[in-house]
Amino acid sequence: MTADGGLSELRRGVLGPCVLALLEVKSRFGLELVRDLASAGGLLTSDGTVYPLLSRLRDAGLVTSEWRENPGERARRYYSITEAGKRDLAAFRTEWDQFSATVAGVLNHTRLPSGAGEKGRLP
Amino acid sequence: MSRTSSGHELVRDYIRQLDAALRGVPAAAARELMEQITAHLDDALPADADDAQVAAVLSRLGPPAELAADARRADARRADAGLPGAPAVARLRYRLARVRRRTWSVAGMIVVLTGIAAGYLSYFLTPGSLEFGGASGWWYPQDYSSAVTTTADGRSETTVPLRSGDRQGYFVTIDNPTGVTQTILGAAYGPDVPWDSPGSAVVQIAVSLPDRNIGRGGTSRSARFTLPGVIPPGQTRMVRVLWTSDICLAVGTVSIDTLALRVRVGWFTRTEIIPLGQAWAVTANRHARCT
Repeated sequence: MTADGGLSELRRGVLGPCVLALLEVKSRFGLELVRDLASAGGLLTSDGTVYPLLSRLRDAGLVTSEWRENPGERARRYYSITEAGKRDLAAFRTEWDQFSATVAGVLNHTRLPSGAGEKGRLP
Repeated sequence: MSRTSSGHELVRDYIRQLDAALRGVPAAAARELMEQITAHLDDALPADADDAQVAAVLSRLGPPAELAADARRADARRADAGLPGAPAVARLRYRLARVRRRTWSVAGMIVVLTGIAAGYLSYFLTPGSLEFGGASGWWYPQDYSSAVTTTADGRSETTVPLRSGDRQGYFVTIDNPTGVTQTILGAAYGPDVPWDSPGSAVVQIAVSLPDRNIGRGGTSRSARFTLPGVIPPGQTRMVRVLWTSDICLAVGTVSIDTLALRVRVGWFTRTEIIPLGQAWAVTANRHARCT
């Protein structure tokens, strides 16, 4: 596994909860969501990834979508979080706190003193 | 929806490639992704976007093949029963989305064929009954010469003496006013059938072969009879009803004012009860011979 491959797998894994977190704040349409995720920086490998993910979250009952037409604009499909989505997100937040703390702990503990950082590995 | 972006050559190319790459993805999922992507492009691109802007937006969107692979992966993940939170409706929608187009078209074909069969059934089950054609008479000369016609309460009855042990009977013209051929198979019997036979339990039915005179509403004693008898749509035939009068009537009258027939229409055989417009009666006096 290359470092990049590992990161893109990781991105793919956390993208769902990130989408849920954005939708928890307010309902958004596709491009709006893509832009907010992109502005967070480093989360999206490509914009298109978001759409199959949205469909999957919708099928899993975590997100709903509906057509809305704002005055003077074309009709857009808006995505909103469901109660199940909120529960799922809350559970992920708890797990993520523990998980990221664990990962950070392991990474920092095994870091070798100056000069050998790029060769760091578990003993 | 795609009035702005789809006009651009690069966008059209991208959409075409995506469409090709989505082959094999369940139809509903592919349709949804296509709708999401075109909406994304419509929102992301101003109407007067130049090539550089379009190329930048498309490159951020990612290669079509990668998008399709994502969609396929998302679909596979949905296929895992690992959707504990998924409501039943979502699961059902997912299953339906995976039904192939061919399956839908086969289902459609079955629906159409069932419809045709149902149409055929209703076509042959709904047509009306045969009707009394207006002309009638006693069949044997000794009966029609001695017939007495009475009219009471707007109902006419033609009565002849019972000739016990002999054959007696009448003929009537029968119209087929319906659009389908009806075939008379014989007399109908049964608890629901009003057969007041003044004679033998078995009544002999016969239907005339085509005869111009009968077709014009008249009768013909030279007509030839057969059974089963076919009456094509809109045509008229003579129907002869004979029985052997062998009941023992002390004093009294048996009258018949309906004709109950077994009739085949298409695939179906049914009982038709035809009002005759008048009654045919035999009457016995005290001299009638009882056998």
